[in-house]
Amino acid sequence: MTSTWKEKLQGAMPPAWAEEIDVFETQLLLRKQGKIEEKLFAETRLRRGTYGQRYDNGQRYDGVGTQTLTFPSGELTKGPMTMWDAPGMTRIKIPYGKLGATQLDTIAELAEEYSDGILHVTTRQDIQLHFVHIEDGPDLMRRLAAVGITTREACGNSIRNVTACPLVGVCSDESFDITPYADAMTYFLLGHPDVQGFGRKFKIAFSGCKGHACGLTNFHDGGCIAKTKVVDGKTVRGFEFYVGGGLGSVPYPAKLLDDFCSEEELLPTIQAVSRVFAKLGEKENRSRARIKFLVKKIGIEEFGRLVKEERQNLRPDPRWTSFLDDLHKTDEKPIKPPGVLPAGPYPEGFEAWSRSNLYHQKQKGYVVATVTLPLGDMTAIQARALADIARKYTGDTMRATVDQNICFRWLSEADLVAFYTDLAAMGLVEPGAGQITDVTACPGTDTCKLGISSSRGLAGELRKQLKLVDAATAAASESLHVKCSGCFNSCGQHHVADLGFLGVSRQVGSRKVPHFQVVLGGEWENNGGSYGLAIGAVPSKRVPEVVDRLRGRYAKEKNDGESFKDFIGRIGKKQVRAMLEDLMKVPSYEEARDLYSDWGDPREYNIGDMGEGECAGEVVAFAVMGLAAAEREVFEATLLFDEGKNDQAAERGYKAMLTGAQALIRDLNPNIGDDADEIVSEFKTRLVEPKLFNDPFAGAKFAQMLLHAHEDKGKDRNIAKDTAQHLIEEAQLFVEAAYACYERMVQQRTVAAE
Amino acid sequence: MNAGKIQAKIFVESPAELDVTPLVPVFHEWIQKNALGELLIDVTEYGHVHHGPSLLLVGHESDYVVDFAEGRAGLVCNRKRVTKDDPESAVLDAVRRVLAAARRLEGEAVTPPVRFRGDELLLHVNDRLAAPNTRDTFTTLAPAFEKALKKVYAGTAFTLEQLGTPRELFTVRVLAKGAPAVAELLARIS
Repeated sequence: MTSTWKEKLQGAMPPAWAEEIDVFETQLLLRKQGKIEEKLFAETRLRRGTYGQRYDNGQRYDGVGTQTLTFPSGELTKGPMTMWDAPGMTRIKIPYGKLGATQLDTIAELAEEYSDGILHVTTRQDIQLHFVHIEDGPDLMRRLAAVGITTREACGNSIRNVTACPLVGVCSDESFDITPYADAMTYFLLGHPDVQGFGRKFKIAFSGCKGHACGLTNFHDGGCIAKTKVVDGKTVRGFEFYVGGGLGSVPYPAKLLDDFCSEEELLPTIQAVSRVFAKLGEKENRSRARIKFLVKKIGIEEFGRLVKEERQNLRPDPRWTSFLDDLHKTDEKPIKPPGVLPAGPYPEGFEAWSRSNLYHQKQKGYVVATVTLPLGDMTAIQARALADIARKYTGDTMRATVDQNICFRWLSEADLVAFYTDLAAMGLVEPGAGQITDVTACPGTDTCKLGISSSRGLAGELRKQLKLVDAATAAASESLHVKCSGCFNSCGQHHVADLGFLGVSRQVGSRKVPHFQVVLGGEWENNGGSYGLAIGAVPSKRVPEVVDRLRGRYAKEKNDGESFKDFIGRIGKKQVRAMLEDLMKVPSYEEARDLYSDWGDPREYNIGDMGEGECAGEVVAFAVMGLAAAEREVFEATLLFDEGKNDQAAERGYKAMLTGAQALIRDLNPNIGDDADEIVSEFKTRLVEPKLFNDPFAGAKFAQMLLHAHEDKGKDRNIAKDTAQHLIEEAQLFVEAAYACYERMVQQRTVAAE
Repeated sequence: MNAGKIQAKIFVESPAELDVTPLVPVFHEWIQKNALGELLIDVTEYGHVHHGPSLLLVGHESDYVVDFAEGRAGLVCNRKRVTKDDPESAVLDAVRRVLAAARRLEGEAVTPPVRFRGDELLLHVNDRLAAPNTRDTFTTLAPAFEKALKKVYAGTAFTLEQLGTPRELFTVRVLAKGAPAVAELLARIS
């Protein structure tokens, strides 16, 4: 009997991948011996897809106090403030979401043996396993490598998973099947020397068409939309090539780099883009290091010129075009002949499920069936069953979707009832895929160390409540998208939802209350075409009521064919805010204790070691009033923005930041005046230089937003729409950071008083 | 054979009555009070998945799971970072831990109260390399499992049955008709 996976899988793994994993295993050993510096090791493990998880600093607030988690490896770390033994997350890249049955079987095994028995599909078509010990990493990676999967560069400052519309190849609207191109780009860039020197990550998405949500190219660092044109009477393939999009804390729409990048130029272009990004992208300040900031800074024209220049310097690589010799390499072949749906009667729930979870392929007689995974989760047992179902009906045609589901392509309509029956046996026939009940969420405070509020807890609650909506209004609002992010990093993609929620916290008296910013009017269609704006924060526990009011009103009052975005635009954000104003007020702890804990977590929300001094309470009221004023100004900025008054909107956003800064400064210097230069100067001296305003993870990022806005003040008239929107987004983040800073100030004061 | 990564599952008496929600604060409190004498880290809920690990108390050495796999509600102790290679002591260790956790859960003031049956255990070896789910593995491990379980069930007769397919974890069902309650079983091996 073999004693190690390495021995057992010898010869089953691609040799280069096997070697990389051996190297990683050695690096683990060296780190344990103290022979690799922790920062270097952290980046090394991130590039192997091995991420940190909440409480990995060895501290956990247990509802009463902060406890130290005493791990057996003592002070040994796997990165700064990251304990060696602390459970971590492994992100498994699934290029363009394509999964085979054997691959899914393997991931199910890994979930059982190294994780908690759950496979989590992410909004970028990855699969994540949580609570994994770092020392299980090498074997886990070997077992993946043996079925053609790598975790390499799933995290870290490199090219992340290349995503794509899950309908490519079977969609009736697409220009052509982008699968072979996404595949070629994935493996061309994997480990490529030109993508190793980035200051931040780089995400790429492919889409077969422009109009639908599809690949969501608009908010990716690199986006490729399939396109054809006729040249000399012959149809040739190419791509609209976009760069510089991104959600994150401040969302940027991607800019068009090339209106028609030919298929031959696709790989050299991304290589040239990578070189420019590696050369000129920010390296020191992580918060300004995504390519969107570079594109904004130098402009898309200059960026394009540099890419062209770099393109000329590239050494020709046969891989640029060799994949074009066989574009059918990635084609899927159905294992069953096309068919028609047998006559009824049908099993319970079949018709409702068919209405929402099926897409009729352009290939007659076949459908794409989507399996709704609640919150993107499935058990290892379910995953094995799905692998069996694939073997039985479709072959290796599964794709993870950005809605955190799994779809099966090439399902013969003749098999639909049997397929449904097999899914039903595993509890996997929930209807409403991609609709309002299919709420998506990032991990949030459940497992992510950056999470502020419980996005998964909220999403779970919304799913329950939305299923109870009365039938009369349910249909009218079923197409809405609801998305929740646990913090400003937007992994839940709340910016492009009809109803988006972004986790924040608020100080109320001496306690903190979990909140969500309500972000309305984003656009999922058109590849994530436009971004919503925040209208105010409500306590987490009241978000379901927010959804109920907005959804109900939309269902009752929408005009024929009116989108939610247009509806919100028509009634106006002012009125929307008025609808929710009562929900934004937080009663005292004694009156409403429930609001002081988060969804699914009975612990009192993050009150840490704070005391309840009356003196602090008075100061709280004064500072909080100023911060609330700043928040109001951000909202007013969004109203001006909606009216097309970009200059005024930007001015108001800037003013909101000043007001927020002033509120904090006043807490330290009651004599502060209203002069902007004085406020900024005091802000620098009292809050930026002592690093009091620094976010624990983002550092000085938010402080810089005010400093830049102040520098730029008055320079630019006729501000462009996207610039105004960025400034409003930045103002929103600045105000959130001001609230967080204020919480730290209260905490410091309390500790000092004790 | 290295069979240290044992999972032991004990089943609830009234599965239809089991409500996970009141158990969430109980698990949080167990962390707070270090109730199980080992490092406990966090609580995670998966109540939204069908027949899944509905509620997890995540630890360093073991996870404790209110589990509904195959529609059968019970409590699992999953020994995930262990050094015990000897299968007999590994089984005994996992069974003792799951019984101790079950006993503690029975003592919690939750409505409806949770009660466990002593007459059935499900044992897995959570390591396909060391213990593939084959007849050979069963032949190899059964004597050690029996030895451990004799200490648990004392005079009560019990049977071992290997379950599942080679794709699944090595699985053994233990039936001990007429076995006493959890408290007594635990007392025998504590």
